[in-house]
Amino acid sequence: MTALTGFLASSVMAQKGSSFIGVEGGVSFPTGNWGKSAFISSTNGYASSPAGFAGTGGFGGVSGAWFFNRHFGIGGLFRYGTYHTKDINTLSAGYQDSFDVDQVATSSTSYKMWSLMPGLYYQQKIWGRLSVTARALAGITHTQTPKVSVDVTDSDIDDGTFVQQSASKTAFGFDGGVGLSYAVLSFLSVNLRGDYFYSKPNFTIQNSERSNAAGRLIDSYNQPLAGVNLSLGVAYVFGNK
Amino acid sequence: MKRVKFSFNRLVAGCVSVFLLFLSGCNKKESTVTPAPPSNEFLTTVELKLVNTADATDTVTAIWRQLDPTGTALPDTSKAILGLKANATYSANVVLLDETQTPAVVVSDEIKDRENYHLFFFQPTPISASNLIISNTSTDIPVADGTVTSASGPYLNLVVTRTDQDTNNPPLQIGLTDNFVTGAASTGWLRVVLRHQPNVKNGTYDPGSSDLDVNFQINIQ
Repeated sequence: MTALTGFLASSVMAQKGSSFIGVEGGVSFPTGNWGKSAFISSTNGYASSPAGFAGTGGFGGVSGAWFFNRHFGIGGLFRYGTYHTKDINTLSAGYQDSFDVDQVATSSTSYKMWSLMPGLYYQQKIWGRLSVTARALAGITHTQTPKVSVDVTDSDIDDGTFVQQSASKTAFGFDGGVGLSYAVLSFLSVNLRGDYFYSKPNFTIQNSERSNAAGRLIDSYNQPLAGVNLSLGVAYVFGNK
Repeated sequence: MKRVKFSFNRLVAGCVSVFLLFLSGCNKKESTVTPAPPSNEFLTTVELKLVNTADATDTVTAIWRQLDPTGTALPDTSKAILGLKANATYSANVVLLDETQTPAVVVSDEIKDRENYHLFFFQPTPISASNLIISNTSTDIPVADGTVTSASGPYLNLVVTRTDQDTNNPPLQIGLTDNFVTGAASTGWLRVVLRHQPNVKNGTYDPGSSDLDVNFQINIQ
């Protein structure tokens, strides 16, 4: 046991991993209710639904880590991403059916999300210039919901526009995943990663110009905002030993 | 072999440029226009079913019928006549049918289901300008929307009030059930209008559009 401890300690102390700072970007796939859409119709009273209508998004960010030994390091990331509103035709058709009108014009901005998360990194060289990096980060995630505008027209009369206002909230979040790094040069690596992210902000959402109780009305949203990120990045590597 | 020169500043600038380009591309607004699916229901028939509140055997039914969905043929108004007793109160039900289908579809059930944005108006004429009441609980139709007031009469002595309410907050009237209160013997017309007011119903006549606009002959004896 003492020998094993000594071996591990000596190997850990003998070398440091490849610290880095880099940029990454990629696609993000919302999961759970947040990433679902639904036909929501209610002719008598408001209807709510956990469906978040979050479509596939994109993100970019900066991440870095300093390795205090061969495998373990501390680091963090700043990431910003957006998610378009998916299936807006389905969303709009729900309002059309709810109000029994000739035409509904619906427009929606995107979800916007940024995260700032410190945490632990683990690095392991697997073959030649290729290494694997895992990370477990926790911090804050700030999310802004879309602004949804619905314009109702019947018998060629525009009955006005009602709006689900955008809401924003900062909440605890975490992020974890693994990636492959290929050292193109001694100080430059290309990284391919897959990460899971999670936060659960409890939004309070204002609605304006809602006069009659019918159709989808979301005045709060308390669902996990989670998903999977696939990213490609480049990093400046320093501290190689 | 040519040496590859590396510039960290160029790399950072390039990555930042790509990042900003990427974000601007992602931040787009989605929009769509959804038309109504083809309708499979028509509003062909309007029935006013009245019961004298003082005498349950005193029932009256008037029927306005237009079986041509295109509206080009003249409606059948031979039964669109209400004979009422003077100085009486009737409870009324408005029944709307689609008689192009077999069996006939009760469209008023659908109106009840969509009560939060439908509102009936009942305009007796002739009426004096002083008796024309425009408010968010009145069944009268503004002059600007077709009501012709009379300075001299004789007037139709009929007052209609709605007795049902929707589930809006605060609740608004609907008009599928009503009270018809008659005065002295008189004759005239009752214009019945169903307003479709999607998300704009506030008790008044003007918002929205008309799903129905028909006239009944009234004889109070």
